[in-house]
Amino acid sequence: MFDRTHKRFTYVTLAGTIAFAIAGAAPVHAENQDVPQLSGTYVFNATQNCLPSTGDLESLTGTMTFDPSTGKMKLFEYITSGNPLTLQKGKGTDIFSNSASTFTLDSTTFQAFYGKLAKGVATSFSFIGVVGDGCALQVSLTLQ
Amino acid sequence: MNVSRTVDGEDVMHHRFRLRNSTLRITMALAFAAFAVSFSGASAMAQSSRAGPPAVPMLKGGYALTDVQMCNSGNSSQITALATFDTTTGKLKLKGYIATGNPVTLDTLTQTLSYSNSATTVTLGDTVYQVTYGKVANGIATYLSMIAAANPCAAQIWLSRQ
Repeated sequence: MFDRTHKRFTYVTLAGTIAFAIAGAAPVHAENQDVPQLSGTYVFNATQNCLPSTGDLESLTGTMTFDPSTGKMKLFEYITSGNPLTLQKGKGTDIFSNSASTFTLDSTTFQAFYGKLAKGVATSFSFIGVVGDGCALQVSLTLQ
Repeated sequence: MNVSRTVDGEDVMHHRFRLRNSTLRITMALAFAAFAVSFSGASAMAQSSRAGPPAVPMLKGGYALTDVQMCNSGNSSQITALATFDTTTGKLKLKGYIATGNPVTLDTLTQTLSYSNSATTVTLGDTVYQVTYGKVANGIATYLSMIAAANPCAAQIWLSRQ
């Protein structure tokens, strides 16, 4: 008798705990679903248009590797720019964060659009913004 | 030797059966061959009919769009937006941002265009782009890259499906 009651109590308690856990986790889960995660290495193409200001137009190609645990992005890129045009190699590390509609690199916030998600990770995304002295920077990334 | 004899004995004993069996085998082989020929013929016909008109990937649903337009006049613009293709209306809705002007400013953009596509081109409004499709899933293009020269501007667009 006690065992049965105890078992029932246990079941009820267990069910309640699970229900509570699900209810408690739901908003967090929904929140995570809303914000695609940036994780791993992405191949990117970018155009930085400074024609109206400095007269320079840069094309960039390379990789960005995002580590969501540290919030850091490692960059490796080739850049064509200047007159005459030259190809230069660059690399660096920046701090990043993102929301459902924005991507922030260091202190610059860009407007972002995400492609397909795989287990919450964006397999592609694009962002655009105005940087520096009147340059438009537009980047398109695809997960490796 | 013993083994050989036994085999010989079996051969003799089952000669009649073997004849029937071999006749059956030949008949079955012929039937199978005939089926195989007709099947491969049908398959080849199906393949050739499939190879005839190139498949046209569908543009459907939401895509992250990147658009770069460079003009000889010195004007340029860059668009990053969500592009939604509606196959029932043939309309493309753009909702996003455009960077253009002097000085460059980032402004919101909302635009609706008619669209159509073939295996090699995409037409947006009046502009015909040469297109290269990436992976196609269930007949729908998941990625495409296209380019057009609409004097005095050159336009390049990349689309990645959500």
